[in-house]
Amino acid sequence: MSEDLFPPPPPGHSREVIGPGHTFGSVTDKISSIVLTRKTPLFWTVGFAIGFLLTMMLLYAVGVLFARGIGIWGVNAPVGWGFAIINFVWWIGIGHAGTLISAILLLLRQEWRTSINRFAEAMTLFAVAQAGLFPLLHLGRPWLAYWLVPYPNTMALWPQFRSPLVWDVFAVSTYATVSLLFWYVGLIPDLATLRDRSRRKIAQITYGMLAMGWRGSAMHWHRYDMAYLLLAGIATPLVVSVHTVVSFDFTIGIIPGWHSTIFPPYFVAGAIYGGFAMVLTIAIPLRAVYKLEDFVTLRHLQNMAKILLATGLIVGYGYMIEAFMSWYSGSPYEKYMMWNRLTGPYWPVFWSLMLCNIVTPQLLWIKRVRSSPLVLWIIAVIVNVGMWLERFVIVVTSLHRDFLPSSWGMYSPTKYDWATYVGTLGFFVALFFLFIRFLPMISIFEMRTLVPEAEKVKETEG
Amino acid sequence: MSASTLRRPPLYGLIGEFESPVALIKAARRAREAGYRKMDAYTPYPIHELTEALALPRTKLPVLVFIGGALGCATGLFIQWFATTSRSPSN
Repeated sequence: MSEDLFPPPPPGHSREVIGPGHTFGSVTDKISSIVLTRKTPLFWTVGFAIGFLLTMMLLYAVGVLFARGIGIWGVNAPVGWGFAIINFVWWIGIGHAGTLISAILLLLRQEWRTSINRFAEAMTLFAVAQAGLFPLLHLGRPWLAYWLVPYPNTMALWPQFRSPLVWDVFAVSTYATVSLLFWYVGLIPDLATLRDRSRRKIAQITYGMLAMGWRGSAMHWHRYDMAYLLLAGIATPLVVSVHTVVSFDFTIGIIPGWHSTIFPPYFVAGAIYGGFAMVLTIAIPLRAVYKLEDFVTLRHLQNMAKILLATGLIVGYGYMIEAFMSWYSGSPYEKYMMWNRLTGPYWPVFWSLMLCNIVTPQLLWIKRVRSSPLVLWIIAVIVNVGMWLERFVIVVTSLHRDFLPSSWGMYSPTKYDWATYVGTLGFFVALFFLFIRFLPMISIFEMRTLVPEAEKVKETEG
Repeated sequence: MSASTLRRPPLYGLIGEFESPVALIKAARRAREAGYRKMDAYTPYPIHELTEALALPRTKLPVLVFIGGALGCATGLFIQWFATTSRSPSN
């Protein structure tokens, strides 16, 4: 991610991270009006309605699950992990792009992150919320989930710290906490802007309380910058550590196809790959509907497309090494696992995965593809599907045929599996629509720093 | 000093409005050179040059965060040690 990979526009050319002719006021007006004054577009109402209905379906599916147990899902011996774990890994992976954009790109001083970080962070938060549901629902007795937390109790029982389930609890709860804090701290100056600009009493009070007395004094900014930098430093290792722990869920098992040292880096690359695909899936319609082409410019989309291509190639390398190692290991079980993936009963899933994750993104080598938002959006959706299929292949094809042919079996999801998965998609969409309606989806104060007037400071002071 | 100025309340402070960030920074620098120390500036976005221009003190935040992190790390390790060895040893 050096400067050469994402070259700034040549001198004389308008700065491409923000459209020409913007001032401090116009930036503020444009972003805050979406929340405060502009009429809510039909796109919002329809999108939120769909999300809300699917959330209700999720509640129904979870209600039935609580009443009847996980027998309503397709999981059974030998495939005990099914959709719940596939969806968990998929959702938590999606969050990683938001953290990478907000923390790592901040520390690397990539200015172009400015207009996309806010909603990428919101995406992280809402994706982690969906991810967190699945291991809990998969517990069998979800109402006893608090047993996973170490606390003194009358049974004198403590969590088993050698169990990856317990590692997940700490990894995911840390991730959720840091993501929430990072997102909220980033919002504070903008909440103050909304407080000052809103005309309705209830909005003034709500935004005012959330802004925690922000006045924009130089001392505030001085401490704020330090706090934000420290949070970025804390969030950065999480980009790597959370999905590493998730991959440990698999690698510490001796199942063929799971017991592999390549999993942590391979999972992290996959997470960023899937996450950037989701950022593009969200950003492209948003900029079109809310006319934000000045702020989320073509340069942003192209840069994200390049990251998508790069991480996609790392993921492809992971697949290749996985196949190579299963042959090189000399273990008949590993060899069979790979052969079973390629030609076994789940071959259509495996080859669709190759098509979605390895073949399709190669189009991104072409500049015209990277410059076309529509084509980019289609590729991003395909990659999202591909990353879900990848987790299906890892979870199901490894479990359904392991060491003893007598204990082989097949897995197929039930309607409750689908209702829960599609329900979380709806819940995610509903949360996201609430976010773009009530909070500024682009960081207003950070956009102000990109305005030509602000750039003059750098020129004069060197 | 005439009687009219004496009746005025004593000077509490001075306030100024600036059109551009460059003007604000220049004014802050001049004011500091002129010996003013109790100063603050209000801006709609962070201007790093102001930290130096207003001679703002360093924030203690990094030290506090480090102490918090160290305490959190120690507590986490302690809980793991306590839960797995002294309370319920799982051989």
